[in-house]
Amino acid sequence: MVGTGGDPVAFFSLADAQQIQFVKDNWTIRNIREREKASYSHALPTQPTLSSKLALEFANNPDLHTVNAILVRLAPGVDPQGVAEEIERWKHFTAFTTEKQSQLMLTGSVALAKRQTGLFRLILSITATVIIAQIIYTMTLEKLKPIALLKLLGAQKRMIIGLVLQESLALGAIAYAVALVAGNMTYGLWPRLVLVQTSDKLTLLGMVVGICIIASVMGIRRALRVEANAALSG
Amino acid sequence: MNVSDVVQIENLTKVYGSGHTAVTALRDANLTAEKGELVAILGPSGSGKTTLLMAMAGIIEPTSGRVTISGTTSFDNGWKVSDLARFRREHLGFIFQSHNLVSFLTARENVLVALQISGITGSKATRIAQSLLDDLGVGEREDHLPEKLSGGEQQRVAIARALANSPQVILADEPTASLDTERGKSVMELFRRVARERESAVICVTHDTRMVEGFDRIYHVKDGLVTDSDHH
Repeated sequence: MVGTGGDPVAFFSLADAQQIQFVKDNWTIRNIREREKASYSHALPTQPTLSSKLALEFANNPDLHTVNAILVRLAPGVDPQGVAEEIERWKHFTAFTTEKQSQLMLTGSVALAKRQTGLFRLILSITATVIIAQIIYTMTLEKLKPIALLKLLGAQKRMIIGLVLQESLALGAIAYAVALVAGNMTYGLWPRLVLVQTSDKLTLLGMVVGICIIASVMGIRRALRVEANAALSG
Repeated sequence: MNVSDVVQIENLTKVYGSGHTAVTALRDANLTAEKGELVAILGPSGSGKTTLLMAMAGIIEPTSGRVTISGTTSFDNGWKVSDLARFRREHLGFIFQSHNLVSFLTARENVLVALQISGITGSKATRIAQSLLDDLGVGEREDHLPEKLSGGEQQRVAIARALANSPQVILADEPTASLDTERGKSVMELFRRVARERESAVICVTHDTRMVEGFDRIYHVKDGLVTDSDHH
């Protein structure tokens, strides 16, 4: 260490000198912690629990304050591929376009999550079908007498089928509405979030309709087996 | 067949089962009913009168013989289930002892169901249902569920439902059995009015001898034989 005139003042080893140079004062450490906390608390909007853990981790460990990636926003009309190639001329630099990033995510950790979610949805769909089928079948059993009466009055097959199907679809519509409202109200409480777009909602609606139709088959078969003369008994 | 006959049953036989277990429920039964006529089929339990009613309704297929209603012979040339449904829809109305109203539908909706089955929907159906209920004196009770109606009111709603498709023949199964004498007579009066005004034949299967005076024609059924016919 030298004084303002250039004369030696104190002697340190190189390691100690570097440590002194990079040791931050308390004010700086507090400042970094606050900044890290603020920036990482919303880093992963789809995984709020992980976000808050990361924020805490980074805030308590200033040495992790390193730059790993830089986001580049291009002016309109600029060719992203050209810019990426230009950056990659530098050693150790890799540039990804938005599309490439999406592909990387989709073939990486997101792909696994997607498969898990898909399997979960499949299991739920099968379970829902079985449950709705049981409900519809039970409701049909309770209405065998009115169904027999309708047949006695000359109701056509399609009317009987329509009645059971209507019941099933009404049940599905209620379940769909409840699921949408409950999902919108509680998504922030879950550790992992899935982005649900309009197309997903429409797909789900299609699945609900399909499930309801499949679930009503047993009830329809039972209703069609009812004899008209059952209306005359008892 | 007489021109005014709307129901013609000829040599109707119905045998249940086969071989040693065969039971003959009806033997060579003959019956006719004219437009505007009130017909009673009297007989004790197990005599075959309900089988006769079910044969007329196209619910069971006769072993032999013919059932012709409004010129249409049921089970003619291998009828399918859909043919029988159409036959009932176009020609028959039904009234039951226990009224058989759909418990979760209001009085008006019970009538609307019958209209819908006949292909009448929308405001036209609502108008007809209202008119029928008004005509039978239960118009003010149209929004009530069956459980909120008295026995007599329920029977009136059931009659309104039976009239919804403007049938030429109304088949009634023990229509007065669950009513006291006064209400039973009231229902018979309604049948009389319906038969006269709509030129429908009303055929009642009953063992309720209190009401026999009100009928134009009486058939007795005993052990599967339609043995007698009184013309009043």
